[in-house]
Amino acid sequence: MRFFGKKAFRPVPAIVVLLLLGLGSANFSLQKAGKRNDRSDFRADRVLRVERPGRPAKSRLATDRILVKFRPGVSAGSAEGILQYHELGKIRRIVGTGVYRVQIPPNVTVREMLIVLRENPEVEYAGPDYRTRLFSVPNDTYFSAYQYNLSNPGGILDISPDIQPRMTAGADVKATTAWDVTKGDAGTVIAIVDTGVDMSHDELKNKVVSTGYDFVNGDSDATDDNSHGTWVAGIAAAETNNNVGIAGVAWNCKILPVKVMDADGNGYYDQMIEGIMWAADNGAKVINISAGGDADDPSLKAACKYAYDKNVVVVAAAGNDGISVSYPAAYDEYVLAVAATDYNDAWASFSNPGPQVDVAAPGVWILGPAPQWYVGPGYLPYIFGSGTSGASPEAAGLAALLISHKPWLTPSQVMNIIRYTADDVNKTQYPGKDDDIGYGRINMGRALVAYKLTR
Amino acid sequence: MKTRARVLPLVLVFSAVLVLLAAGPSIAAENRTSFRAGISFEHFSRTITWDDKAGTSKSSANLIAARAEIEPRPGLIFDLEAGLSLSNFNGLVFSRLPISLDYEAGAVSGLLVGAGVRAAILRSGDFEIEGVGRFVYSLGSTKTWPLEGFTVTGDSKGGPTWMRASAGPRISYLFFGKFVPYLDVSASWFSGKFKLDETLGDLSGQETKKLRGKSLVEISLGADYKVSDRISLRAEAGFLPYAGGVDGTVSAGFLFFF
Repeated sequence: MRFFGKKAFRPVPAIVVLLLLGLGSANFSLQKAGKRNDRSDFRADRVLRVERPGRPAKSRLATDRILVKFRPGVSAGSAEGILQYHELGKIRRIVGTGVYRVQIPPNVTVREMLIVLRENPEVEYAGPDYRTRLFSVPNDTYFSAYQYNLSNPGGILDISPDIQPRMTAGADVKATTAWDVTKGDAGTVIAIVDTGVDMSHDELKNKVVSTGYDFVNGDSDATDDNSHGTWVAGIAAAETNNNVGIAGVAWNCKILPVKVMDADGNGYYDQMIEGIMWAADNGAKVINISAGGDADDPSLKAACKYAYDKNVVVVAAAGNDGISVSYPAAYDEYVLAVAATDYNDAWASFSNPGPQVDVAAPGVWILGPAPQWYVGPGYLPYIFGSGTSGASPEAAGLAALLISHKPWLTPSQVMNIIRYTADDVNKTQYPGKDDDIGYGRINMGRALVAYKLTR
Repeated sequence: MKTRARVLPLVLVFSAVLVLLAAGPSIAAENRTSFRAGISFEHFSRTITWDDKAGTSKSSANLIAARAEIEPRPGLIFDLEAGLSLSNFNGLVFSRLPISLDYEAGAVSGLLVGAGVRAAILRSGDFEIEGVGRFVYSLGSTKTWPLEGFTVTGDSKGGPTWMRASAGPRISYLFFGKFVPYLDVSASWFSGKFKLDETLGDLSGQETKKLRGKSLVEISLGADYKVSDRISLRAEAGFLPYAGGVDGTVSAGFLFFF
């Protein structure tokens, strides 16, 4: 584990720091820093642009389409006949689920359409196509390149003149200890179901196994047009030990980009469902979902089960509303829900609490890669952000290391190992499993290093 | 283990051949059965391999046994032993369990049984050549170790069993009368298994390590000393060379002649 000291950054022309806050909070902000030659110049010459657009007021579900599933035994022809009878258009079957995504007539509301369909005995399920959203949105500030989340030496986290929290030594995931056991295997693929991945980024260009799939635009190019997916992918498995940039949790594991959110960070359940299933069918051993929605949906749950049954570990961010665990993280049986802690092992207040939270990982001021176009010319292609989006890929990286080290483990075993080896960092307040951080902050070392049986 | 399965019958056949040779007319003399009993102590250390030789660690054991010998005719001795073993397999790593376990818990006690045969083959001047075969089996007790520091409770339980077999010639020098030094050169096999069960919350697993001694040859120097007509002492030290190292063994004991 390396830290980027001030000296290390002197030759660097510029740094961009971006703070990613949950969309669930009322506001988020974006700040950019000007070029920097050394620390003092950096502070004197910085040029800040602050944007506080607030959270766009959007419906939590698609207003023009719904999801429909027919009972077993109903043929595809009969099903499509029923849909056409109700003047539902743009019929598209989500492969492997039996779920149809259909467009409702313009003069009918989602609610009206669902009432009609639910009365049909052939219909097993009819529900809205819920909106998904990212759990972290950029809110940049200046960057001083720490990865305390992997190995925390304590001291000051010197992010900017006004952001200098004091860290607690050891408040980290114990990555360096785990890397003595395994650095991961190239055959272990982590699918990043997100906004896509910048496949030209130095941290990621040798890590992606293919161009993935874009379920937003319907093509085989899951290039990131938002930056969130690139940040998440890098946290999980950035190119490591290459003398530049950052370290990923799973050094040698590969990345499968799956784009299910658009350039604005918006998406729908149908895209996420397809993304999860496609990833499970295309070689992923771990799926990271740093996104989600508010509504329970049987099809989304079924997609998670599909992956789980195919021996894929699904890891998802708990969400940043501070209210309740989002979906699909809340699907306890099939998904490992990850909350966020900070540089002191304290629960991050934005992190969604709930009984479905399994574990936590550092999610405040986490450094990850970003597309060059996103940060702009003259800036380093990295962002420094916060959110359960940043915590989830750390747990996903650990899952990938466990699978690399012990490929015979089942998803249930992998999830339980991550749960049981966590550090119960809030045990003085809430001993045992609790709604804030579940079993505790993940401990990669304990999960991977052999336990010493002594007298 | 297939090799081991072939080796054991060979040891038994070899021992049987020794018995037949001893039963031959060349050495036969006074046809009188004699009995003796005593106690023996042995310590050995052996380098073992496991996981198809991917892992190597050092094992050791202390054995204390009551021993009975019967000599149905001169030159042919059968012995039986039973006692306790303390076997230490520190360094074994059980990496196929959900949570890997590094065994550093020291010695595990166990029951020990053994049998042997010694048969005179040839005597020339002050030298006597015997064939010696020995088999020892240790059944370790099951022990439980708590797994601490996890977010749920759990434990691990298990123990080792092992066997050792050796066969080869012994050359004794009879010149000193009551004091008989000897040299053993024998083929020596060691194999065993260490089984561990792990339970931690909803996680459970079981792993059995198949153990194999690295050395296949044992060279020992020892001596019998007849203190009186009734009491005999024995001490022995040996080494077991293998590519890259050497293991050792020492033993001592006494026998009372009835």
